[in-house]
Amino acid sequence: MAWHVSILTALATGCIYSVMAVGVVLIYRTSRVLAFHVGEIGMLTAYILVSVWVPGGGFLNLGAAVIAAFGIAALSGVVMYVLVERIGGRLGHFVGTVITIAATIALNGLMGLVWAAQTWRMPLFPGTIGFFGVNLSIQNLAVILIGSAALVGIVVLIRHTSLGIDMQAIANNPALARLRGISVQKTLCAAWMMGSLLAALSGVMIASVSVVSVEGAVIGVSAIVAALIGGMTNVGFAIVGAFLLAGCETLVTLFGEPRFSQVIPVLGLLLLLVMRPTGLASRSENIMRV
Amino acid sequence: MTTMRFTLAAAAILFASTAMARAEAVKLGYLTDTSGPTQDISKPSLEGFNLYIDRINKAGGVNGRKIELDIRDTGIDTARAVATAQELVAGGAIAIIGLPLSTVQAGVYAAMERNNVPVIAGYPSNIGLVLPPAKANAFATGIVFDLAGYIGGELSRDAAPKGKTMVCTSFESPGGIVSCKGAVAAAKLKGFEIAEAVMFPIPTRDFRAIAERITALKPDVVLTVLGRSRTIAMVPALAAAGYEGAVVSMEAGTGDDAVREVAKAAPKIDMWSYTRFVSQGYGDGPQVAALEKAVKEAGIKEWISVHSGGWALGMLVEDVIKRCASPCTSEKFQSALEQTKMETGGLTGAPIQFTKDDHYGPTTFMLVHYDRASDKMVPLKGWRPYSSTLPKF
Repeated sequence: MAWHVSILTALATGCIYSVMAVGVVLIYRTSRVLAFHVGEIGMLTAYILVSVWVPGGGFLNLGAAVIAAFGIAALSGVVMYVLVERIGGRLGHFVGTVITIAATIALNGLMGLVWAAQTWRMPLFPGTIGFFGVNLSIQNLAVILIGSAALVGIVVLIRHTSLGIDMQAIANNPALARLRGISVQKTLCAAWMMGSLLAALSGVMIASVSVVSVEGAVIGVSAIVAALIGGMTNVGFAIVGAFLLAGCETLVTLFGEPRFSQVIPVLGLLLLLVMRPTGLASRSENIMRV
Repeated sequence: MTTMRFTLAAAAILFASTAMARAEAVKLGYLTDTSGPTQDISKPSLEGFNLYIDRINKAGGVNGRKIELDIRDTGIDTARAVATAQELVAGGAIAIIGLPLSTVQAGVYAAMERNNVPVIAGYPSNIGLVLPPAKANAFATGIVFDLAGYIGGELSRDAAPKGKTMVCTSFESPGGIVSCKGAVAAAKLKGFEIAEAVMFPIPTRDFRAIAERITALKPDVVLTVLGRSRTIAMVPALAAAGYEGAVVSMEAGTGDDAVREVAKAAPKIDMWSYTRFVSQGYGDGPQVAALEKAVKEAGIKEWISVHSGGWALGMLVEDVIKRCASPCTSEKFQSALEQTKMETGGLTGAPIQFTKDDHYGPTTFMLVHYDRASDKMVPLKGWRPYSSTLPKF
């Protein structure tokens, strides 16, 4: 067993799950809505990218194709914000979650209609490089690099920018945030856009190491599981949850029974939630004051 | 007055002849997946079938009887497929054909058995209900996983003549499981010291870890029972994991275009495929030429084995209707099916044959090798005959 290859694979998978899980947490913390549609946004972006990029038969170079695909992902974030917050917002968070489920179904249908459920390869970062006599996959390395940069960027944004601090304020107490003059709707819109962009990045990364396919949207489930392991309230713990999930899946596949690679992590999640209902974060949403 | 009588008489004759023509039409229900996850396989099969039936109908039908198709998209939802099949039968369909995926087929076969309606699965994913002793109303022209898996295990020896280890990989569908079970048994009989199945969950789309697991077993040949989308993902993952042996792909809707694409993405892997129906680029015969012409006129870029499978299903329907006396009922249709021996004009290596107990018949498979120099799939040793009776394993 080439352990270095497997470690690299697990790390790359962890980065992919982390990026999407952080998007899920960001949306949940600000809107209290569980975003079930993130996997579909990821695959939609991958489909658009591969369609407009020259190697896939498109007409744009890579830079322009990335801008076009991620532009549409950001726009989809705005659309979801309008649907969930402006239209469905008055009906409560549960309705918001249902809207994201409806978006999942609609986006699946759209991808089936436009791309006829075709499977495409995304020839990003092909090949291997030698490192101390060991061949390492450039795809995995690129995913780790890009994913880590995105995660560092999002943590910096949340902690050190006025937008991030506004988001934290809304996450802690939306009514108080409004009273303090924070533009809640603008911040929520930004959170949905960022959630979509993170989902898009994760979708493109998973497509680059696998394929672009409608079924690839199942990555959204892994991201939600990772976010749940983390406790849904903390970006850092979502990242820890994502790496735990990826590590567990890889270990079961490599050393255990691959058929159970997706079942065992979920069983682990159930066990965790039984023992620690608030996830790794140990932080409850409702703080009772006496 | 005479003119009026003449007009009335002409109208009556026209009405009667139209009514007769309607009565003569043979109605068939066709279940497919044109919107779901298997549409990349289902659509080419339907295209091939439609091209043939259009040709027949344009030429006046089968002995003057038009074939009336009611095509329904049921995805891969078994409950929806069963309900739609019942609706089609209630609407006058005398047989149900098409059918995506083995999971859907089992439910439809069972439901239609209660209605005494024959079912012909034309897709490349049939389950063993059609092999002897066959279920009463279940027929198939595609590949049967039980049999094709076993054959794949045997053919793996050709891809790795001195190989010691063979790995069969598939996802956990009924077809995938029985295929790899058969393949492992056949590989051991063919002298492989180690033959293993590596199965993975159906939703898996990232194959890096699976590929690393397979590569760690140091196989000389990997048999893939994956279909189109998973083959496109798996083979480059095997290459990235450092695998440099042979890959034999079961042609279950994969398509030669996909095999060539992944071969280019994995330059150190020796790509093979094996098939029951010919694809563009090899095979000859009158029906191959006719299909070639039809797909060209329809503007289809490249036809693959599921196109020829769909075309052959159309030929079978025509052949059976020819032998089904008017009015052709489900019972007569089934009786005619059970006495089928139809030459496919080069689409397969042997005639499609059904008897009362065998609803699949003896078959042939062809092993095809990817030639990098010419970027073509090249047949090896031509068609090889196989019985429809599975060996015990």
